[in-house]
Amino acid sequence: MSIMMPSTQVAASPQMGELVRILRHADAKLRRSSPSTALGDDRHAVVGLFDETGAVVALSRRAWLASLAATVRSVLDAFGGTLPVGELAVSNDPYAGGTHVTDFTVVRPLAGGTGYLAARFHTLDIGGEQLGSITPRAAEIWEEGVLVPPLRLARSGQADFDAATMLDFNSRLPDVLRGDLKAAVRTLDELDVALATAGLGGRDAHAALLEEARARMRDELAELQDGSWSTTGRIHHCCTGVDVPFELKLTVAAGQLRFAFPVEPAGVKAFVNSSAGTTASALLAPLAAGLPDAACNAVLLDRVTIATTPGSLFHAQAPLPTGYAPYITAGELARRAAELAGQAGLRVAPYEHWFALPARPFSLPGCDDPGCPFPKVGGDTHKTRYAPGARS
Amino acid sequence: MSEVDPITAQVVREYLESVSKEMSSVVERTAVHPLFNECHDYSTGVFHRRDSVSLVARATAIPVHIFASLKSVEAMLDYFGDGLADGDVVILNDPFFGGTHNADWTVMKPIFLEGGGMLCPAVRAHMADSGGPVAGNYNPDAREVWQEAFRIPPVKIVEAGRLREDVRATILANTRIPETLDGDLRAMMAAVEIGEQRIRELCERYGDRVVEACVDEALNYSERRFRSEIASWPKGRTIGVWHLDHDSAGTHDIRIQATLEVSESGLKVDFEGSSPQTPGFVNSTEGNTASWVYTALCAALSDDIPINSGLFRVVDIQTPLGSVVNPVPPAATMSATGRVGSEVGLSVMKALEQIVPERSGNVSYGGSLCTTYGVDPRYDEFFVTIEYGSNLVSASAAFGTDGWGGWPAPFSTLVFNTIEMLEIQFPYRYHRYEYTTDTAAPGRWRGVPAFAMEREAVTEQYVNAIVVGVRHVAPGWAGGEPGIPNEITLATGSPDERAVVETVTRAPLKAGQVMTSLRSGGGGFGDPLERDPDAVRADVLDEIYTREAAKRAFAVVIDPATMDIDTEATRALRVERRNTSQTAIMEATT
Repeated sequence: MSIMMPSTQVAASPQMGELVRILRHADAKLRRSSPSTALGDDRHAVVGLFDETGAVVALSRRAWLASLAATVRSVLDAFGGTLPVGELAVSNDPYAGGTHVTDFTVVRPLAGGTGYLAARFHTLDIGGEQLGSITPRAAEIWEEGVLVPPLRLARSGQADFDAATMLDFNSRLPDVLRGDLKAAVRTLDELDVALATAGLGGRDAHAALLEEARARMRDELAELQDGSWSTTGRIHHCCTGVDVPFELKLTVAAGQLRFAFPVEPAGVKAFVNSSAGTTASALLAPLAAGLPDAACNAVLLDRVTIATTPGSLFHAQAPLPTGYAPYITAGELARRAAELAGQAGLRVAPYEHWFALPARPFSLPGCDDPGCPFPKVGGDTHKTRYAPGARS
Repeated sequence: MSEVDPITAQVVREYLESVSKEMSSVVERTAVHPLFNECHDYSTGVFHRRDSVSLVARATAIPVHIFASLKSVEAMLDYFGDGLADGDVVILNDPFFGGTHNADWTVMKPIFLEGGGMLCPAVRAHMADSGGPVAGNYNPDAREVWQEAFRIPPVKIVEAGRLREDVRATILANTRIPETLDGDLRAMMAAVEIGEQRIRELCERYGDRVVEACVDEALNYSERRFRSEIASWPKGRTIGVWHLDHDSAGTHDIRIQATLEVSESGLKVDFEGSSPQTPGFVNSTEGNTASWVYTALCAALSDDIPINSGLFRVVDIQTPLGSVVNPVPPAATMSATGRVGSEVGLSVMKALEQIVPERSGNVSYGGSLCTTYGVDPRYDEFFVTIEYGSNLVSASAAFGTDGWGGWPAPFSTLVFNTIEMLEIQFPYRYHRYEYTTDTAAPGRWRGVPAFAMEREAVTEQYVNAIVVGVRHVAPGWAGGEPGIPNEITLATGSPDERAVVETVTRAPLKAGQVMTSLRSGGGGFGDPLERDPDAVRADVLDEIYTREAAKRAFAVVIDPATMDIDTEATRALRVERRNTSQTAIMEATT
């Protein structure tokens, strides 16, 4: 078993330290200025810097590394590989890097065209069957809310008001959504200035930081031995009748890590399907938590492969609903990944709070499981409303 | 505006009608879903804006579509103001911002003219699925607009001639059948493109100002003709009332009251007295309500008056805010284009019946509605469609004509799907798809026979169904009899059999199970005892009625051996019935 040096003993470069400080400041600004963060839940925001190829340079928090990177990639791909200066795009698409429909990501280029900035926030509502857009009985994504694949909200520095209005109309709380978007846009505007002021907005700076990350990663994984480990887990949500066992396998070979599910569970008609972004983020979370900031970026992503099949429980595709997966499914995946990472000799740091259940879990009345851990919340009439023929 | 001679004005007006028809052909021949290319559930027209927005020309299709599109063009102009330019194409579907229900998308292409005017070809169509919690979007459980479908306020899908791929992708991400809808959307965009080309050719030939003058003349002509028509109507106020059975949310007998006032200055239709907006999905937005009023009025006009906004200038429509005919957001509206819409049309027609009875008749389709969805294993594709077999047919009789065909001509030119095509397109197998005997509403002119459908599910599928027209069946006119109640039964003949009482949502049909429906054929017109006995005999020979029913309903006696009318027996029976009827009236009034 390899014994890795605790990362805290190796200081990051001043540049990386400054970058992370600026990103965390922006993260705090986003959470404090965004109406939705009235939830007071700091898991629901993240800010990141990407180089001109779309590679992650650094994030304000590590939990959603893989997902945010995939969303930025999908945004760039949607617009021909690049987003010109003056443009601004948004996406909440779980099938294109995202997590669930309430998580919106705003992407814009740096003023100099040398890279990109992204901010993700959890808005309170984006339509669908229920206020909050997380619907326990959902069998399809459209029951949860509306899908927004990469959509431009500004071109040539001018806002596309009609596109923004389209988003407004699809939220029960349009002022909140608009406020969230404005908070994200202003945060990124200020972040752009702050990075330029700190000398961190240029291509050379990004290249240097990624090179530093590679070096750190080499150090971190230098003594990692090849091997293979597996464990089992279970995605269980008694209220919707979901109880899916799975096996997770970690393989280490020549410094590369590979997570795979030997038998991939099929997607289910319940809101626990994990998008590829959620799955990757959850599996990487224990590793990311144990790494220094300097290595928690594209370099980590390059070292890890997540093998999933589109359409499965852990790689949801349309129309599988995904609303609760960032909590319940991600939590279980992260626990199992931590177990395997520990066996492999990787350092694992506390991570579970990232994927803990929300304060008000999504349960259904009428659950007949005596061990149901979810407190019953009133008002949900799904069981009666959706029982086939209930109205007949 | 320059003067034009009447011939030129007529040529230009007819040309714009032709443009609308050509646009309609483009949609029909290029769209993908059978709702378009088989059923024609779309409409095309040309609008004009100078001081206000006017409908100038339309293809014969679904009047409530294109009349309501007036609000769409107004919404587009309100939203974008000066931000529109040639080369833009705008789309919307929002019930509270230029639409009626989310399923109806309107695509518009403004063409700006010299001097500030604008012509605008437009297409409105019913899309098979626009996301939302329930496939097909008719969600009886909806209590607010977000539970129905993706909302599209006015948005440019094409800007300065360039398709906004991201906007298109966002719209198509919110449907269960993106490839199909992409084809349908492109068909609509192609239609307005053709419309623009033809309108530009017209303007090239005559000049913008002459074209606009012709448009003015077309509108003025229709207005003059309408005013002339109603000048002969008795002045005063009549009240028409009709009720919708339910809203699928526990509200019953939803009242629609239309007070029609005919005066020298025109017509006023006031819906004061109608029910408040309801929790269910039957709320009719202002544009939908107005379009049904126009449909009823146009049905009562001479058929040689060009249908355009000139007519509407004569009509003042009042809809109380917060009522079921003018709800406030976020009311659910999905079903309102048919249910409450129909009742709006019927209430106006019931008011007209008291003024010009010979012009009255059914303008609506109302009744049951059924959407079916699932995965077709033959193509491994999700499918969703409206089952018109369960809701077609409601054309009542009218003065001088028996009911015929499917839906009432004033409402629509929608046509039946051919079942052979349906069986290819969807996992259905039809056992029955026909008119029935002894179900046509009696009258001097009879209604359409009720329509029976029996359809087997080839593979497991799901049904959303709404049944109305049971508590308040399709009415008769000017003394004609009403139609029969509607029915839908699921899993007929199996242990799972159950009749749909008002509503089902996501009800499963297993492979091999059968769904049956019976759809009322609308009411009769006039006293059945005044029906020509030869016409009754012809109906018996055509199996529309049995001999027994002919005798019971029309007092026509037919010899079972020769199938000839027994003239003496018929005369005697009719005298007896009339005497009985008069006696009953006397007893009731004394």
